Amino acid sequence: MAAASDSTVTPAPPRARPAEVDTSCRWPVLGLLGLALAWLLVAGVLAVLASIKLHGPGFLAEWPWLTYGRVQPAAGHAFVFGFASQIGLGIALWLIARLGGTWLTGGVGLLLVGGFWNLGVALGVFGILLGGGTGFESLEFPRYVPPILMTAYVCLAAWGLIAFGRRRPGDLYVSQWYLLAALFAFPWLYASATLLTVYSPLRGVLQVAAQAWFAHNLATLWLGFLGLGSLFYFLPKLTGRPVPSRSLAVFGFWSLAIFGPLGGLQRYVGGPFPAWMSSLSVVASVLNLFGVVAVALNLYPVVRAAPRLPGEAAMPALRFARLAYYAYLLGAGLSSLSALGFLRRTTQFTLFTPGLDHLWLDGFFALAMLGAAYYVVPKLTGRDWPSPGLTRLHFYCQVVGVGLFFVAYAAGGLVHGTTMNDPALPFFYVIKRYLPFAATGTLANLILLVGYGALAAHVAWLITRWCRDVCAPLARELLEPTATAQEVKA
Amino acid sequence: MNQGPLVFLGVFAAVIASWLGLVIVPHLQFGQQDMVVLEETGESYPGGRSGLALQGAEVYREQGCYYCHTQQVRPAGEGPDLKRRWGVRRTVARDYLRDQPVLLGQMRLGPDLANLGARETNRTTLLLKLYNARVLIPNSLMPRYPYLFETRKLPPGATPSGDALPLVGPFAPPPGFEVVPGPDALALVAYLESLRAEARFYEVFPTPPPKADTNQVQDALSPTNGPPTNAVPATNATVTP
Amino acid sequence: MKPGTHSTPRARTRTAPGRRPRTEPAPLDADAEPRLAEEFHTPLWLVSLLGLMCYWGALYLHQNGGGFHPLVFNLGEHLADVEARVPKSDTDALIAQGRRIYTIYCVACHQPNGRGLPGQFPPLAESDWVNTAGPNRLIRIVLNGLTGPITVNGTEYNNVMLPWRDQLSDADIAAVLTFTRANKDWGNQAGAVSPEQVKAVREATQGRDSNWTATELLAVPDSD
Repeated sequence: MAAASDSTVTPAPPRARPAEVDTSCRWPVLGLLGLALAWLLVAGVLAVLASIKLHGPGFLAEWPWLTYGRVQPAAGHAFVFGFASQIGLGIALWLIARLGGTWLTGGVGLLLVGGFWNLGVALGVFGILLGGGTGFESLEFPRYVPPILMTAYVCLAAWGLIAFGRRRPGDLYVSQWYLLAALFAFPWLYASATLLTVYSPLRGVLQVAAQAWFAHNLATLWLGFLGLGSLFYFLPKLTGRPVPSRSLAVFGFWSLAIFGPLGGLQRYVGGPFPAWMSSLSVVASVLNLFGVVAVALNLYPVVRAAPRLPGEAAMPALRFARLAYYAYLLGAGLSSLSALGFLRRTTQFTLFTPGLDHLWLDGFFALAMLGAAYYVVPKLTGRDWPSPGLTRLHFYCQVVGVGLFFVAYAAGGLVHGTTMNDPALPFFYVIKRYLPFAATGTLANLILLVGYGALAAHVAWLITRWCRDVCAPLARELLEPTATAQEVKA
Repeated sequence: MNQGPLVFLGVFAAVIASWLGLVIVPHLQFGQQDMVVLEETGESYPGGRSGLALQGAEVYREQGCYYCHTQQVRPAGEGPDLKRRWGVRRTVARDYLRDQPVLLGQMRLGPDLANLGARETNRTTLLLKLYNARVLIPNSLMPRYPYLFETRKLPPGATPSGDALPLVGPFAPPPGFEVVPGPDALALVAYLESLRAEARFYEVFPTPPPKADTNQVQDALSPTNGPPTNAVPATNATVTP
Repeated sequence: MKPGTHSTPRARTRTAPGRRPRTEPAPLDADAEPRLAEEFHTPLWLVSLLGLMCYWGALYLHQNGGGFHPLVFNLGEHLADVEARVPKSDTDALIAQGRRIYTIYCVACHQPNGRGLPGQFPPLAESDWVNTAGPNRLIRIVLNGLTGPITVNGTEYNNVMLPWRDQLSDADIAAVLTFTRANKDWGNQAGAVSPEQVKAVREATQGRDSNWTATELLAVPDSD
């Protein structure tokens, strides 16, 4: 290891010990993670429904609120806003406090604000199921929802920033760059995109440009950066191998921050946008590869390093994070490559796109965040996970589910595109060809749901144990309040 | 990278740049784009939709039709759209000036609908597809929308009314009943019939075929809904690396 | 935590007491936060490749960006390509204008397909009055209208056509007649009409305020 770095970096003493950090984070972060898990289950069930309906149009067809055109966005929004954003925020708050060596203020107040966020998501998902979607993919929440989400978000992020402002002096760590960027970017993205599509819409296709810009940045700048922030923390932390190159980290960060946000319209090449707009996005998404390569090179030795301690070999957080790293490379790489040439012409408007999105959200992001949660929750509760078996079950379900879904949809997308691009083949033939792949997607979603179920069961088990250990004495105390009060007076 | 402000300002600048580049500059550039007067008919384009069709657009949005159908025709070289006769020309920004929201979609589990009104003129076909697409296409994956229709009891001895869907075989309602479209189904069909992207104007004039002089006259004379094969701009093919 | 990789103040914090006993063994909670080392710089090949690809990006935008013009939609085209497709010859312009005039003034009687209405309005499509060598009679009909019996393609019609002398300019009349005469969709093959020809006839028939009759017209040579 480079001894030179140690002479240049002189870490100031943290203002709070890790144990204190964890105590200050306990309720807000656990609350956010718990609610995120609830939404993960909701999203999982809705996703299964949607994928069944995709290949079995007769399934539950009598109910308007369960039609494919509503269940599909409801599942996506529950996942992105209910699960992903929430677990991302929870982990981000913890990381900011941990890395800053400071405690998180807010406590129960933060939890209340988190509840407000969930109210917004719940209203939004119901709104979509009731037909109130706005017509903009990934901005479907009805117009009464965004103000709720924005208010809740601003409060949550403000607490994060307060903690960030109180950090110990000295160099910022990579994770802090990514988290800070994500926290600042989200309100800007969400507020301006909602304003320009829903409240005060631009004219014509400009609405779609704003929506595409938002959808792309939601995945890359918000969720992507949160995920990277987490990976840059946990991979080196759990292997004990430092991230080798500061310079490369800087290069990667700025490449991703500068080129990434310009993407989005590469999915609409040939659509009704002036040529320069989609070309700009194509160029940006190709150049974005440099950021991806930099991250890959920088984290590769860390990913390959052995766990810090032999006993940690079975540590779920590291397994999840390693796999998230590979999912990131595959997802980001393919999304850049599919902006060009053969891959674009074959996969545009096909199943390939949702396959890629799935790899990004359920693969890279969810793996990174769930891995983080597997690490953080024992720290906050002071209890280890009760069953390594359940963790393993969840892990394998997640891996197999995401892998199967991606392979099925990527292959299905190629078949879909190839047959669709042959004008001699009638459209029902195209459908016939992509049908088996779509059906495989349902199987994958079911496997994922089993994994989520295992996670939920595991969490329930953990909470039960914890209650037994912590709440039971507490309850006993509460049941004899008078005695305690008298004792205090005495 | 020691400073929070540096990261903050840098990312802020990057996001602003992308926002300007993909949203605001295009808005300044063609946000004020206006209707054109078509040389052929003297009408302004795009014309508005009828009230019923506008209601239908709301139904289209509520049912999330755009999660399976696009409304954008790509030019030759970018896809099979023209060869599949989903349109007679590519679509451009002006086609969507009066839509709110613009429901482009980015998934083609079903065919493109940008020019559906011109290629599907049979209202009953559209209604049947909405009621149950498998009546017409045995393996269709299109969801059924039975709740947009009303299955009602016929008075004894009465024959089905004129609006009743011609359902036979396994799809027929029980004897003594008929299936008629509800108001939402009619609105949706009116909207689908109003989907047209075939007018010719500055950005979308087709390439004149290789010509003698008379051909040129022929080309200018060809009516707007001329045969799609003629309308495919032969040299529109895109060169992409 | 490996000794020597961190300075002592950090290491000391780890031993701080005051934490509830945990089931987790202590080493796992080693508080070493991850670090950024400086083992190597950004590889030169990556930076050079980025420069190279930025150049490619500029080329790509130059090739496919349509000059950043909002009316260029096809990748690989420029405004000149769009411009080149706009119908531009004199005849094209006349025909386009004529189609518009026809839709406004003529279509009610002569119908969109130019075939008129049997027994009421004579056809223009494949009509022996339209497909003549010159447009002299047609110009007169449009200027001053027509009354009384007229035989078109062997069928007799007896109706009134209104005069358009005051409504339509020379260019308008030339346009609509060119549209009619050169309309191959209707099966017509006759030549274009120029505004100058209309102007000449308008001046020659300046004083006239009554409709033409077929007999009068047949007395006029159809071409000069």
